Amino acid sequence: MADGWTSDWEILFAKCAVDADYRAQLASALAETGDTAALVLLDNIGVGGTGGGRAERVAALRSVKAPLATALTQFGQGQPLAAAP
Amino acid sequence: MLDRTLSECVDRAIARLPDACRDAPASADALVGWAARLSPTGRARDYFDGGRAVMFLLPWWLEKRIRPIPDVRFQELLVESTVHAYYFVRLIDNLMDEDAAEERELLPLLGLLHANFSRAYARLFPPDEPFWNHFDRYWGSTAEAALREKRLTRVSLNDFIGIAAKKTSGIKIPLAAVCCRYDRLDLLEPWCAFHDRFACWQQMLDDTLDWVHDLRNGNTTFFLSEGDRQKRPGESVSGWVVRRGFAWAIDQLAAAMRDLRVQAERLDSPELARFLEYRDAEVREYAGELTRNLVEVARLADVFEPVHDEPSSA
Repeated sequence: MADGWTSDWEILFAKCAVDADYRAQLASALAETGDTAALVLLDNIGVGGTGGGRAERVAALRSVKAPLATALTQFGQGQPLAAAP
Repeated sequence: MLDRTLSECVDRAIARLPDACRDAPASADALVGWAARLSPTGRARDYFDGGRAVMFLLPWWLEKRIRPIPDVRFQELLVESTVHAYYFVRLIDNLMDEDAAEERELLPLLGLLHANFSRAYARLFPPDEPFWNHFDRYWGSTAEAALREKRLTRVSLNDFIGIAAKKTSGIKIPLAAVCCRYDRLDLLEPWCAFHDRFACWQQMLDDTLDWVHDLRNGNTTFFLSEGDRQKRPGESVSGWVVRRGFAWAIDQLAAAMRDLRVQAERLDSPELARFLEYRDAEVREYAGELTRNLVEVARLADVFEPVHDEPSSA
């Protein structure tokens, strides 16, 4: 960001974009019933949040985890287009 | 995407890569190995399918515009030259973008690649032919664009059109060769003008689809620069991309493609028109799928990065 501060989103995005193991661990943790495992992973990279926001973050991740992985994987592949017509 | 005959020209050019360094076996091994590693499939030939094929297709279609059946031997020389020119530019570009260790080790290959790139034209045109003025201009433009682009810390629209999208000006060299060979220089300017516009579209597509890689490597692109300009207070560039930036870029690409298709009609090449139609549909389909995912990702970004409504002045 312009002032040098990095948002929690940027940290999460950067980690997920480059680290397939982390993505897999996060997906596995989100599949569990409780929030604890996912929060440990988020706290590990400093984006677990505080108070009631913690549960909100896990819930948000649960609601989009498949599209997140898909979108990041698609972007991570660079330009995938170009099959023959 | 490639005519079978043209595709076979590319096959043979790739198969002959070791010959580019026939008196330098270690260089030949290094070149062949690097070319294979560039390709996601591990097969050097596959690297030139799809979007990159346009560097062979434009001279091919231009010749077909002039005569119904292209001279295959002539086209094969152009293809072989273009393959070496592409590797020459790719090697430098990778090194400048990523300070890649492998490419640094390969720098001695540049001389061999350049010799093989220019040799084809030396066979076709004596040194005093006007072709060489075109060669100098377009090759110079390629180097100039690469040099100036790396000095940019932010890319404006003018920079993008005038610099970033000119990095592929070298593709105009085989176009000039076709026009000079058949004494049809009247076709050169419109085909080059088309290429300039197509290069903008292609570069915008690259910027849009490679933005994660570019952001991670600190590469300056028009797309990421636009993110810096458009993002709101408290919003990151990656937040901008998933909320609005990707959609913005797709709109830009669609508008550019409409202009391209109008311009292509004037070139009187049915194959070029079909190519654009195909590329347009391909990008729309891909973007549609990604956009559906990004709606969800944007909601996630909102939770981890709440933003204000007003655009940033940055």
